[in-house]
Amino acid sequence: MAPVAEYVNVLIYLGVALFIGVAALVAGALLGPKKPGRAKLMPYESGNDPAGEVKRFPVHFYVVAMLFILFDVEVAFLWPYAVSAGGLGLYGFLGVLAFTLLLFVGFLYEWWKGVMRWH
Amino acid sequence: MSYLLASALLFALGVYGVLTRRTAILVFLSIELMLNAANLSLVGFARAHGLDGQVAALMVIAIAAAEVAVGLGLIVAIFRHRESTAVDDLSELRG
Amino acid sequence: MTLAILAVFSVALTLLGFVLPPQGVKRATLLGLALALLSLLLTWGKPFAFGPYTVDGVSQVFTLLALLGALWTVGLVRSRRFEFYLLVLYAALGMHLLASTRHLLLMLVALEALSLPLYALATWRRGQGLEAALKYFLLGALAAAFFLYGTALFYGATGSFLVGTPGQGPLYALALGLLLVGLGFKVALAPFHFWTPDVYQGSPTPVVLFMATSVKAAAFAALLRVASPGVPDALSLLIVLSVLLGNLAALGQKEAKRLLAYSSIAHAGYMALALYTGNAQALGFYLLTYVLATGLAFAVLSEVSPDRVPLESLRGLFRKDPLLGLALFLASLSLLGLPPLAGFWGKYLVFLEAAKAGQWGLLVLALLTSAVSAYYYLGLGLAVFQKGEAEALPRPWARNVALLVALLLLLLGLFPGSLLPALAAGS
Repeated sequence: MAPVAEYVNVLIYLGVALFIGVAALVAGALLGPKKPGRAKLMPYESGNDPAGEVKRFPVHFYVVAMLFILFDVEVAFLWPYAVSAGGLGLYGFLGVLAFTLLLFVGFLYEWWKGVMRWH
Repeated sequence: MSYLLASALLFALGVYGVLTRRTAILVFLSIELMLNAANLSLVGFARAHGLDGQVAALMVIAIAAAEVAVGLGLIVAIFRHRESTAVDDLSELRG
Repeated sequence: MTLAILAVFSVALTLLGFVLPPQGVKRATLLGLALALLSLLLTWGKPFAFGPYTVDGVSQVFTLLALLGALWTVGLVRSRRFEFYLLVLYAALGMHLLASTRHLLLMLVALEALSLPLYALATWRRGQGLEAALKYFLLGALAAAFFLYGTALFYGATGSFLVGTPGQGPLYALALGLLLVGLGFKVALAPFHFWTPDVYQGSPTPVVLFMATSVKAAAFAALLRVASPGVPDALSLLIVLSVLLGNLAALGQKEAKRLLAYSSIAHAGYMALALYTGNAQALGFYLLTYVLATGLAFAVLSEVSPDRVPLESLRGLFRKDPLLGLALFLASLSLLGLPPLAGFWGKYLVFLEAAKAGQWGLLVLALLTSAVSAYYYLGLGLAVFQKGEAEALPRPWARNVALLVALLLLLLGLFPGSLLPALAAGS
């Protein structure tokens, strides 16, 4: 059996799923009654009236997330090295050592800068 | 050939996003899309030209992460400064 | 060697910054940059290669220019946070790397290594600086994406990441075009220039000095390598747009930094003329005169005000401080390319290259727009002699450097031959 033919079922399924999804949305938009009012458009806050704009902005989450991305992605280099560490020998090892050292310097900078302190 | 087409499509989508989106984060997202389009074609070409392309894709991921860190930092700083990230609101510098 | 010095200093200072006072970090940064410069001069004309890192004539000439800009920037700034100096050092490292490789991936890494610190530097003053930095960042990231896609297509067309690999077909042409777009953003060639005026106006002036001189030098080194096997046809279009838009838009400017931004776009167009013959000597000399003159202009502006500098606020600068006034006057004349100054020889050499390549149309256009540029350069240069109340609080160090560079501009203009052989030995 040709490999493409195996996927015909999936394609049909995809088509049907797409149709139902779109049809439901379109039908809802066309048939549903629309009576927007002030109370309906207000953001829902546990039944109370909204207390105005929220000024506080938890930046700390973002900083930690950004640092996570950085250190997380560096694993992308360590993983291929781990797979072929034997073949690369001393040269590869020194290279990875230098790489890790640089990463460690960045980590120390982050630490001493006080980013890890959570208040 | 299909991977090339897909990557070109993705790249075009990214360019379209950069040109039409008005929020810094969405513009940035579109740029990331373009980076990943390049990644896709690198990996695709690697089938014909050997492993170099796949290694390149890894490096691109790291570069993109570095960009994200700086870019998000900037966007957060701007948001804290003026509570909006719409590119159109940034029009102090004209002339 | 240069790479090792820059790398060791930047990594060591990342940690030492926590124990040293900011002034100490500044001195150490200056020392590191000076040592890198020294090592460059000691190995002048001697090629060196380690893997994809290749130091040759092009790399040496353009790294020298980038390091000059970095030294100047660090010298002008007095920052309470040591990160400022560190970021300049990291960017200088990226610039050296960008100028010293034929490997497209390494070029991309270097491009990011020089851009990311600059995005952060552009934010140094909050408020307006943030807006400039966001623009710079988004367009810079876009440029990197174009460059990367060009790299991917180049790899697909030739099976290699080394620029200069011969190839043909639409894929290859498209790849070169995309690489050109990516680097065109960095050197501010029109139509990829639109970030330049805003970013130059919104960023702190010493940082603008760095952007206008060092970044341009490093990116042009890469451009020289990318365009070496044969210039893409699109380049002539970029040059035409750059010299026209840059010069014409500069005519109406009322703010010195914006004016110089448009001038830098026009200059990028003139420099690109040398790409047709790939003559690193002519391009290097032009960039040297450009770096000295633009750097001098921005250095004077940064002594007048760290913020915006409307042309009116320059009036009376000569009366207030004759040296600074004269320096700005000489810098704008050199940028214009008036004969007794170095800028003239830079333009002469580059236009000669265009003539050798048979690009007569471009040459005529370049000459005409040069004549047009006299209007705004003279406006900038003569403003210092007009009556007015200019404010300036120059520090002795900045004045001495300004004097030195102004003298250098004159000397290079009078004896251009004294330096050309050295540049030729380098390239």
